[in-house]
Amino acid sequence: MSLWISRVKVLRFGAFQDRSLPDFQPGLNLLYGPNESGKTTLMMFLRGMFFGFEGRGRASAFIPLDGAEAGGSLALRDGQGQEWLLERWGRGRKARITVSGPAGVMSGEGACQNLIQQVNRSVYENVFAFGLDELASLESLNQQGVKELLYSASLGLGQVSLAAVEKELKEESKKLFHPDRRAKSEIRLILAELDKVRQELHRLEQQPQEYQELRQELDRVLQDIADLEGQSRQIEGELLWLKKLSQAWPVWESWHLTRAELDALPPVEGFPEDGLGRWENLKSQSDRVEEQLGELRAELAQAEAGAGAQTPDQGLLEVGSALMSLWEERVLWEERRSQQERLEKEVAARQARLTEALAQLGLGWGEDRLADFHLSLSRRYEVQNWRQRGEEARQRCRQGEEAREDCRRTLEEKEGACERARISGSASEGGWAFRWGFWILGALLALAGLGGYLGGYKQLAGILGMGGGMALLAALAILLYLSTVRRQRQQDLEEERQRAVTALDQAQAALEVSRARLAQLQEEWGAWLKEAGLPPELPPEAVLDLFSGVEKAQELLQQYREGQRVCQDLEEELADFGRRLGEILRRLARPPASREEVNATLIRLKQELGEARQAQEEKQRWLEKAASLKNDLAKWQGVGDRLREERQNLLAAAGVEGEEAFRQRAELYQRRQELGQRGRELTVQLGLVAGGEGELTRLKEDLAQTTRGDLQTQLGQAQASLGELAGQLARLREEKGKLADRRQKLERAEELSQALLREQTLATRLREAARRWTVGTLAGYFLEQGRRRFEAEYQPQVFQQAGHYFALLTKGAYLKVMTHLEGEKFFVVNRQGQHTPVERLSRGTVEQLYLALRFALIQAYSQSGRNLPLILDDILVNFDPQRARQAVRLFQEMSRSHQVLLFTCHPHLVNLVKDVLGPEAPDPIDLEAGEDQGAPLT
Amino acid sequence: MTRWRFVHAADLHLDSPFVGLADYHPELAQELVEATFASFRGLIDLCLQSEAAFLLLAGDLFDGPQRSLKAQLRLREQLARLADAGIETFIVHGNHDYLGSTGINLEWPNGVTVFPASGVEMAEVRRGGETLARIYGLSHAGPSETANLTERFPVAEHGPFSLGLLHANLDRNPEHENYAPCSLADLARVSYDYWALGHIHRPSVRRPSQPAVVYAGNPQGRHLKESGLRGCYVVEVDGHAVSPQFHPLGVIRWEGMAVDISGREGMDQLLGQLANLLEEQRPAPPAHGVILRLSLKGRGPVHRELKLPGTLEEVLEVLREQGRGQSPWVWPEGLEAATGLDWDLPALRQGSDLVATLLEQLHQARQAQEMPREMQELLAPLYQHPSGRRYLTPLLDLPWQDLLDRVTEELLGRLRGGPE
Repeated sequence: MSLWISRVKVLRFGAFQDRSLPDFQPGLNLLYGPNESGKTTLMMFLRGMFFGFEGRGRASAFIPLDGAEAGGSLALRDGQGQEWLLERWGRGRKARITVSGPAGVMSGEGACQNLIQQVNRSVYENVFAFGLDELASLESLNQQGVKELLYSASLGLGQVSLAAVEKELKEESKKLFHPDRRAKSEIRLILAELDKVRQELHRLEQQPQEYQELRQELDRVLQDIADLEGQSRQIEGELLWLKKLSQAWPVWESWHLTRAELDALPPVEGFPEDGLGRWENLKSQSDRVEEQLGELRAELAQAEAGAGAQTPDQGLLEVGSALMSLWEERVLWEERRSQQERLEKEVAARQARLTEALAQLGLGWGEDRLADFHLSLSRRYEVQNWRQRGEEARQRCRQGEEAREDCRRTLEEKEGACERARISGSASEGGWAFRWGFWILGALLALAGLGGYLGGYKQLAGILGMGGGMALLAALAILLYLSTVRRQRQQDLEEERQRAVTALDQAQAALEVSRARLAQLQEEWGAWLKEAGLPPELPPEAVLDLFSGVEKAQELLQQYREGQRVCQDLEEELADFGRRLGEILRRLARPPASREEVNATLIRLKQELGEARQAQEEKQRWLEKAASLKNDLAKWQGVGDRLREERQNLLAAAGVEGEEAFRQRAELYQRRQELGQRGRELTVQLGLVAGGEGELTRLKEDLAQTTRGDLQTQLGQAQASLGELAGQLARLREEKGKLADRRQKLERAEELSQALLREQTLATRLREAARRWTVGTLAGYFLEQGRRRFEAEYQPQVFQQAGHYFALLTKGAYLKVMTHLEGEKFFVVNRQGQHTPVERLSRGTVEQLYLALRFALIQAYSQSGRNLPLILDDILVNFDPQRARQAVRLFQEMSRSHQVLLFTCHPHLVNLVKDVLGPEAPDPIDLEAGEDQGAPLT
Repeated sequence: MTRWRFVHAADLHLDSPFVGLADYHPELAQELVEATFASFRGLIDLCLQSEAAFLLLAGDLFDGPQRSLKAQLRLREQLARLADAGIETFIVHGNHDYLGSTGINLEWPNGVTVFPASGVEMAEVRRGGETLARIYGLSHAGPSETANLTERFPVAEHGPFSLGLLHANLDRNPEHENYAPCSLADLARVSYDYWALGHIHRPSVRRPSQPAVVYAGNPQGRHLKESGLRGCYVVEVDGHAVSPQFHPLGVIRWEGMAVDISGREGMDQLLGQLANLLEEQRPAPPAHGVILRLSLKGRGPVHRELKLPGTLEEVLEVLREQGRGQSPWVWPEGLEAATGLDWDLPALRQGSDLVATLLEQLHQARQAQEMPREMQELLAPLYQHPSGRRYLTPLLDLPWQDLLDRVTEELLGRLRGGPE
């Protein structure tokens, strides 16, 4: 069904606004316009009406700049004469499309697509509507690009390159996976990783088995260790026993020797305990006793001789104590003698001083009166009292006299004053001066005033005169006042004189009383003196002095009498001493001694007594010693007897007679004892080594059955075994440690979990990559298959037709256009049958070839029912005139089946069309002619 | 008799790895491999805290016949905790850890009863001189038990609370290997009070009573298909009445989220939306984290930007940084732009160009039920690679239609630069 555009109205597109074009014809239409007449705009508008006003690329230049929507309408018709109106406003999704046709009004891109027979934009723009750019751009591309575009053009893929898509798919698939083992790919990497994980998993899956075996192995090792430890303990026990045996061996040997020696000695039935020692002890004791006895006897003889040599004076010894008593008092006696002499002189001196004192007291005074005179403190106080009272009485008399004298003098003064007052008034010297002062001042001033007046100083004279008057007046006033005062004073003086007379009388009376009292006192004192036996004239002061003298004399008297008494006592004592000495001398039948010989006698007696006493003591000492020695002698003889008896006993106990035999028996016994002791000690040592009673028996048995050499050999063997066992144990323990360590590691192992997760992760990646690879591979497959089918179904026809058109255009210079079915290369065949690749053709020829190919494709589309208007925009520029003419003919041929809109800006092309087509040439539509030519669209 | 409770868990799959993670942060590795253990420890803690009378483990304690040493040791260690508290454990083995599979000579702690595979045995739980419950159990003898094992269970005696412990596929669930298949009628036949089942990993109460039939599910999800909360049931018993209460245990949760990008003005807005979504998914302690797969659907202005090479990776990196920034963490495991087939394929197929030819070819290929031999040969080097074969779906098992969709998308994307 051929579709053709009958009317075009551009409402808004590019520079066009509300522009209607002249009606188009179904066949060839020639649209002429110089540059900038809107040719290209119109072509873009027509494309846009079918496929939308694009906002991209070259087409965007035609979108109104003021933001207004592009829009317009096309009237279209088909071969059956049916008419459609296509209207479009706006672009993109917001585009508003309406298609009004015989079946009604439809809207949307779908309606438009139906109208243009499902031909897509890229096919239309590449095949149906193209300009020199599309044609010429082919030439600037390389061979591959040209082919791709041609394919795309024919395949309907627009700008998408089929080869590029195929290549991409192949490369992407190859990156993911390639059957070639050597090729690296994502999937192969994952698979390699998975293999590794699988291997690890395989290893890890053995873990439970390994764990199980490990546990069994560990149990076995533990059992082995326990066994070996048991063995080890046993051998250690044996070794210990052997060491004991070895240790006990020297002891055992000694014990054996001891036993042999003991058995060889003759038996001893009995022997006193420590017999030999006791024997020796007794023997040495006996020797010592004999020696002692000898010494004692010698001493006794000496003591008895000593006692006989001493003969003391017995008489002297008898009075010895009395004599010694006197001797002891001898010093005292000497002292008393000298004291007596001294005191006798003192008493004589005291007597002289007493006699003198008595003489001082007066004639009446002797020793007896003196001793009897009462001299007490109260009596002294009494005298002092007397003296004080007398003094006071005399004092009062003197005071009375003085008072009376004062009163008399006062009276005399008063009487004198009265007399003076009466005679000359009572003015004083001061009163006079005052009084007479005023008088003199008044007179002087008066005289001065007069003098001034006379001298011509009248004013001064006036003042002075007035002052003198005033002074005279004051003197007169004072005179009157003083006369009154004088009378008053005379009266007062008289009163005072009367009072003085009275006072004098009173003083006289008081004096009389005092004198009477004194006289009485003196009388009483005289009485007191008489009573005291003292002379009556003595004043109290003298009495007091007498008292002092008496007191002193009394003291001397006392001293004198005391001296006398002491002398008497001394004399008595000295006499007694002499009597006692005399008695001693008498008893000794010696002549008495005088007082002067006492001392010498005593000294001599004392010396003799000492000698006698010493002899007596010496004798006594010898006697005592002799007694003691006798005593000792008896004792020691007893001891000697006892020792002898004991020795006899010992001999009897040992069953021998005589010391020599006893000694031999003792030696034998001693040796037997020593061997027995040694044997016991060795047995104890063996017991200690064995470590117990039961062990000891076993020890002895074992020792009895072995030799030293055997023991050493056994010891060596046991130690070697033990060493070997220790080595085995160490190995086993190490093994146990390793096994336990491994078991623990297995118990804690996270490897399996991690490996399983890693496996799953890799598997997921693998599946994902495999999915992409599968889709990509299948897509490549389908694409290849599709391309082949497309080529098989479409291309031969297209190329055949293209060859026809190309031959027409080149006027038979080239006859065919060919392509290999599998390949992408195509070529042309010239009149001579030569194959020429496209790249060797000239630009014009290539453009003619592509024009031929496009027309061939257009015919192919037409055969499949797609017939749309062709828009050719000045495509003949590079054609030579002859081939341009051929092209015009070809356009005419195409216009029989399709509407052809031929745009040009070249007048010669218009002429060429006219020239070639003659009357069949269409009237050119002048695009510059404006809207006038165009009828309005409805 | 007073109320009492027991705990029903299954499918521990101890030490089994997380599947489907193409990438994870090294810091998370330890938590990922420890997750099944951590959840199991949580189960034991729960038993102790809830003072359960006993714990039932309904098979697949281990992930494979080659039992991990660590799994075995940890299992024993944790069960010993229960034993110390006087809580008994009853175990049957399933198809993954069938009896006779390789393992160390595990010395079970006291109070652990493992039911044999040779025949159903009964164990009594006694308390205070009275029988609290009778437990009938049977283990799998091999990795693919096809017999209906329930037939071997005896009818319960009247009296004490009775329950069956079995690893079985109820109603031949096609999503799981059909081992030990059985029906609800089979289970009802023996008049037990409770059937503690294992094998199906999604927790569910299949029948509430007479008998109660419960799948405990697995305590820890290990891949995206095991998304959502995973745990066990704490079952309260009052006489013969039961009330099973689900209790989540999984420390790491899997979630898949689709995000509609329609209407998102720009990448910033989309990123904000994704960041919010991520925070919504962030779990609360004691959970450790969430593994999140995100897919973007719908079309919008950001679509073209997302299609630029490296963009999705960058977005994913930003989200991962955010997700890991706090604890518990969120790990966006993948981010894909699932644009789907937004093309008007029939219209394109009507065209006269190469694309039309291609679409026609693909259309014809769709008519085939399986992949044509020619293409199989093309893909064989990878799919029959000795290592690749182990991890990849066999060629003929690949979803052919889905694959063609992807190929179509791929081709159109490349030839047309994506739908306009």
